[in-house]
Amino acid sequence: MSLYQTLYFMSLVGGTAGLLSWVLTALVSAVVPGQAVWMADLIATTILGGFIGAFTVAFSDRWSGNRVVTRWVVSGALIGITAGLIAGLVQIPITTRLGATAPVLTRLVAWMLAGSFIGTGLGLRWAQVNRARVAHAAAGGLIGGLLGGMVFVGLGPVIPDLSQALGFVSVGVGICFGVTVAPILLRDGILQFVSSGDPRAQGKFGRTHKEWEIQQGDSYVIGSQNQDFSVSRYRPDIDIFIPDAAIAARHAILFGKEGRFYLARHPSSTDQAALARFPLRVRGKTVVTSLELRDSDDVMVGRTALKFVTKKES
Amino acid sequence: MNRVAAAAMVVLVEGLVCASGWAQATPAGHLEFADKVRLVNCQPSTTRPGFRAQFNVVDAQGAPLSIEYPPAENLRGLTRIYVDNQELEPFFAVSQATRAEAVRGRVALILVDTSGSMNARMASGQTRFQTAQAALGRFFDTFDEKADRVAIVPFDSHGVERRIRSAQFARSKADALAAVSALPPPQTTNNTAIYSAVVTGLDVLTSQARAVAAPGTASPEMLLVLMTDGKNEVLRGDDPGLLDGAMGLQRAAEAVKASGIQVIGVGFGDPGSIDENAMRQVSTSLFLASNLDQLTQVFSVARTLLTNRIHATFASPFDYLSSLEGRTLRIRASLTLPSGQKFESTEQVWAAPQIGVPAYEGACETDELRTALALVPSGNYLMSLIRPVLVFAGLGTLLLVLWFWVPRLVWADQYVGRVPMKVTSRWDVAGARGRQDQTPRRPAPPGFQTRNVKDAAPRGPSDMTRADFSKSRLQKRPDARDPV
Repeated sequence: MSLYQTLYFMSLVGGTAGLLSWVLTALVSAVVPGQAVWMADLIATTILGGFIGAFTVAFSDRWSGNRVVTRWVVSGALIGITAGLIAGLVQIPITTRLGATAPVLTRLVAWMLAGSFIGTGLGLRWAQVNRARVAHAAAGGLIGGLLGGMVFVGLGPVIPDLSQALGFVSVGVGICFGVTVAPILLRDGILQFVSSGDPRAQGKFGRTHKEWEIQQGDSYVIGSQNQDFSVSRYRPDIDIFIPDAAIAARHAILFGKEGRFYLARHPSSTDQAALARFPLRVRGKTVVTSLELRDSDDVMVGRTALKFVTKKES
Repeated sequence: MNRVAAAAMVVLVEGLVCASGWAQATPAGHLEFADKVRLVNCQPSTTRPGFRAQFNVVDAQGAPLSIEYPPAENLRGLTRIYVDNQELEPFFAVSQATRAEAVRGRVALILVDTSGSMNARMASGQTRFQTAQAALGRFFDTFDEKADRVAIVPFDSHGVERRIRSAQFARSKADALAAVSALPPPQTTNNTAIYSAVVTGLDVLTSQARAVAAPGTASPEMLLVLMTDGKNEVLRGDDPGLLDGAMGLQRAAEAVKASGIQVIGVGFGDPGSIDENAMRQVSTSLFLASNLDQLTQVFSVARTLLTNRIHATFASPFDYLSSLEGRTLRIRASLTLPSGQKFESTEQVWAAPQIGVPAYEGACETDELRTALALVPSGNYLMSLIRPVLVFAGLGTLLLVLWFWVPRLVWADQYVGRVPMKVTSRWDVAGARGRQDQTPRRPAPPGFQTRNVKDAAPRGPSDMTRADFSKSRLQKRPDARDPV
C-alpha cells in the first residue's frame, strides 16, 4: 500500500470510527437523561477516543501485513478512552469561563482538544520508533479536531442530526488524517517494496508496492515475526513486517541518525548460521554489521527486494 | 451661547422623555433568574423541546419586591421570553405566590460559619453564633412539610467536606429547629473555608435535589444560604486541600455560575471584617446584617426568594432536540403587570454541549403537558425518529462507497484481474477450514503457523525453515499433457 493509499484508508478508518461514535453517543444520551452538559461532552469524547483508538490499531496492523492482535486493539481502545476522558475533563473549565462570552471559539477549542489528546494517545504507539511521532500525532490531531469542529460549528444550526454526525465523521477523519499525514509530510526517505521470492510477501505487497515512510530519528525493526509471538501490550515488536521465509524473526534495523540512514543487522541474527540463512544485502554487498544507505539503493532482505529512496545527500 | 444651546437641548430631551412615558415605565425592580434555564421534554404533547425558567421579582438589592401578582390565568400572557432577541410567549407560567399547588418541592442548604470569630460578643450581649441561631428560626416560619427539605450545616476549617456531605435534610419544622439547636459552638482554633464550603454545598444540594425529584420530572427549587462573619481564611493545621486565594475564589465563583443555583450570601457582624467582594462573587445576592433584627430579616428574605418564584415554560424556537446541537441561546424574560409596570431580567445563556448531544434535564409535568398540547405546534414525530436513521444510512453508504468503490477507480491497476475467491491456506494448519479440496498439505514450518500457536515456542534465529523445495515438486503432474 502506497503512502497515499495509507493516508486515504486511514482517513476512512477515522470517518467510520466517527460515525459509529456518533451513533453510540446519541444512544447513550437517549438512554441516560438528565445528564449535565459537561457529562455529555465527556461521554462524547470518551466514545470518540475509544473507537478511533481501537480502529486505528486494528486497521494499521491489518495493513502492515501482520496479524491483528486483539490485545493491542483493546489497548488502543483503552488509550483512546483515556485520552478522550482527559480531553473532556480539560475542556470543562474552558467551557465554564469562555462558553457564554465566546461560544464559537469554545466549541472549536473543545474539538481541537479532543483531537489533540486522542492524537497523542495514538502517537504513543510509535513513540519507540521516534519520539517526535507523539508530538506530530498531537499536532495532526489538533488540526484534525479543528477541521471537525469547523464542520460542526458551521453546519450545526443548518441541518439537525446530519451536522453532528458529519462533525463526528469529520473529526475522526481529521484526527486519523492528521496523525497519518505528519510522518508522511515530514518523511526523509521511503523504503519501497519491489518484489519477493516468497509468494506470501509477493502476494501481500506485490500488487500495492507497499511503502514505509522513514524520517530522521526513526528506528525500524525489519523482520518476519508473527505478531502472535509479540509480548508488548500496545505496539508491535516488528515495525516492517515481511512474511518471507528467508527473513529472520528480527532481521535488521533501519535507522536515521545525524542526517544519514543506516541498515544494520539485528543483534539477534548476527551469528554465523543466521548470516548464512538470512541474507541482507545493500547494493549487492552483504551487510555484516551495518551499512549506510544512499538514495535509490537496492536492498535485499531475505528473498525480498526493496528500494530505498531519499532526498537527503549522503 | 453654547451653554444656552446645551440647556435648551436638556429641556427638549426631558420633555420628550416625559411625553413618551418612558420615565414612568422605568422599572423599580427587575426579574432575577433563580435557577439556570433547563431543557425539558414535553413529549407526547409536542416534539418541540421546552425550556423551563424560574425567576424572582426583586429590587436593586436583590430582595423580593412586594408586588401584586396577576391571577394565574393571566400570568402567561403577561410574561415574555426572548431567545436571541426573538420574542416568545411561554405556553405555561405560574407563580407560587398565587398557586401553592405549583410547588414542586424545595431543597435548601444553610451553611453556618462556626469559626472562632463567631464567638465575638454583640451589643445585645449574645455572641454572633447565638444570634445566628436565634435568627435562623425565621427561615422555618412557613415550613411546608410536604415540600420543604432543609439542612443546616456548620462549617469552619475542619472536616468541612465531610460535614457538608453528611448533611441531614430535615423534613419537618421541629427537626429543622432541632438541627439549629444542635449546631456545635465555634472553637477558637477554627478558621473559615468559605470557598470549599460553597463548592461542596452546591454539589450536595444538586445531589439531594436529584434524589428528591421523581424520575423524569422537574427538579425542585434549590437554595443555598451561606452565612459568615468574615472572609476565607485557611491556615496551617486546617483540612488539607481547602480552597484559598485568588484561584480558590475563582473556582468557587465558577461553581456557582455553572450550577445556576440561587446562592444567598449573608454577611453578619462587623462589615469591615467581611470580604464583600469575594462574597459577591460566590453568591447571586449578598445581604449584610449587623444585629438580630437585620439577620432575622435577611433569613426572611431568603425564605421568600425560595417560596415566591415564577415558573415559565416555553417552547424552543427550533423544532427538534437535534436542532439545538451546537447552539448557544441568550435568554431574557420580561413581566408586565396589569398596571403597566414592567420588569426585565438580565441575560442568561443556555448552551448545548460543545461536542455531545443535548439531553433533556427534566420532563414537563401534567399541567405543562396539557397547555403544551393546546398551544405548541408539534413537528413531525415520525420524521424526528427516521431522520437520524436516514443520516446514518446516508453517511454509512457514502463511507462504503469510499471504502470499496473509489479505490478501484483511483488505484485500478491494483484491482485488475482480482477475482473474488475463497482464500485457502498455504500451510496445512488446523484451522484451514473451508478448503474445498482434500489434498493433503504439508505442515507449516515453525513460526509460520497461522492458528493454534499457543503451544509453539517462539521462533528464534537458529530455527530452520523446513520448506520443501525438492525436485519432486517440479515433477510433471500425471494428468499434464506434453507440449506439442
